Amino acid sequence: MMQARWGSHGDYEIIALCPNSPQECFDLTIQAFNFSEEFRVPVMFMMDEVVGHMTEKVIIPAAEQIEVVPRKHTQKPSHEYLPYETNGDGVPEIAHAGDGYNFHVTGLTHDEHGYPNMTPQTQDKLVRRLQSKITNAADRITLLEEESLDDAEVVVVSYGITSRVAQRAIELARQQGLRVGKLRLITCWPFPEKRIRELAASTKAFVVPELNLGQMVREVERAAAGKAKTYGVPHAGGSVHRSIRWNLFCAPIACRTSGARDAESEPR
Amino acid sequence: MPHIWCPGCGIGTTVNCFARALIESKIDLRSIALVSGIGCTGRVAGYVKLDSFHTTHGRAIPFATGLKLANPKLNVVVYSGDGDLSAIGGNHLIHAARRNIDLKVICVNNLIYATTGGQTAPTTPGHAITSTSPYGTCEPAFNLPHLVEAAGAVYVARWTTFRIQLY
Repeated sequence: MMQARWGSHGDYEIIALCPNSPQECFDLTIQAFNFSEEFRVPVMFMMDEVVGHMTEKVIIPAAEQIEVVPRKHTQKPSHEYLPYETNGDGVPEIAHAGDGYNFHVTGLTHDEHGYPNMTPQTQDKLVRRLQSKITNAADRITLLEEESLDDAEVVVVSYGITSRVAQRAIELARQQGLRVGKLRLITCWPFPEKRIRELAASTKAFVVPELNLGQMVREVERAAAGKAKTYGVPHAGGSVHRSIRWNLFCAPIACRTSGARDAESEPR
Repeated sequence: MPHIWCPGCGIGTTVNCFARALIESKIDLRSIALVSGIGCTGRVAGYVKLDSFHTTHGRAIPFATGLKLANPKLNVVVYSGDGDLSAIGGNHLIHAARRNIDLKVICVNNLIYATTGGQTAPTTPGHAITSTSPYGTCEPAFNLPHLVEAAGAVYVARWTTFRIQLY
């Protein structure tokens, strides 16, 4: 999860989507391409091993029903065109190779002309643009699935296959009268900081089950900023989170701090 | 023309030859896309008045493959160095030769990683002393024309910047 976010050198924002079913693999792949075209940024498609090997019914719509977002192409003549000039949203218009624009693309620090320019001012402007084009649109990019959050005392934050395990646990808890809500991260990056902050003000605790020893739990804890307790339910994998029920509803009462304790080792 | 290459280096000579060849061929310059990777030769893309792409290390050929597939009318030229094309991008090189999707790959082979400080490359001759082989390179070198020919390239040629035809 962290490699998707911080995989390259330099400072930038990235988009990462986490499907939890074969249907979502189909739907979110289209979404991934659309985000990528719209924001001119790679989109990470984060299938975990279980989702990657799942077999379920998938409904594939007719091609004409699928929304395709084309990237912005310039309408300007070549002598007026600056490849990295933007109208404020941070996403420049692209020119077609072969149309006589003679534009240049480089990974070196570049200005609006696209050619290397190594001044600190250019670097600052470039990095801020690469970040802001995503952060300014974060509300639209950050796809979430929410359930029973209005009265929730405990919010289960999950993503990928773990969200389907959590779903059942939340239903069982609700049946027992426990006020548990669901927040599923369909978009993991940019991280939904704003939503976690809002929920932290109204809930007692976040519980973050993960199929690893605790990665996104750190983000939740950071965004909650002490306003609500955060508990990780780490699990190294190889089986379903079997003792998730104990962890979810006993752990907050026991006031454990979040930490790397494998779910398998807890009492059942 | 001011440039970053060292005095005596042959890269500028190859760029000169390439530019003259373009003019002589009377090819529509708008149809040419030049793609380079990273390294000394990787900087060629920044010196030409063409659609030019200075891509990530070793990935010039995959980028060029995408360009060519998206617009088969483009004359796509990959212009990069031996380290970029045959080491980090070595797999892309042989598969591009195998696929034959009409890319032109110009590899400037200076037998070493030059811009990073003279480290041994897959093309460095045996026993050569470099910054990473102080007792001499202990591995045999790639013979790039033979490599790409064996992989299926339809046209392979090699020449030296030491002897160019003058106009």
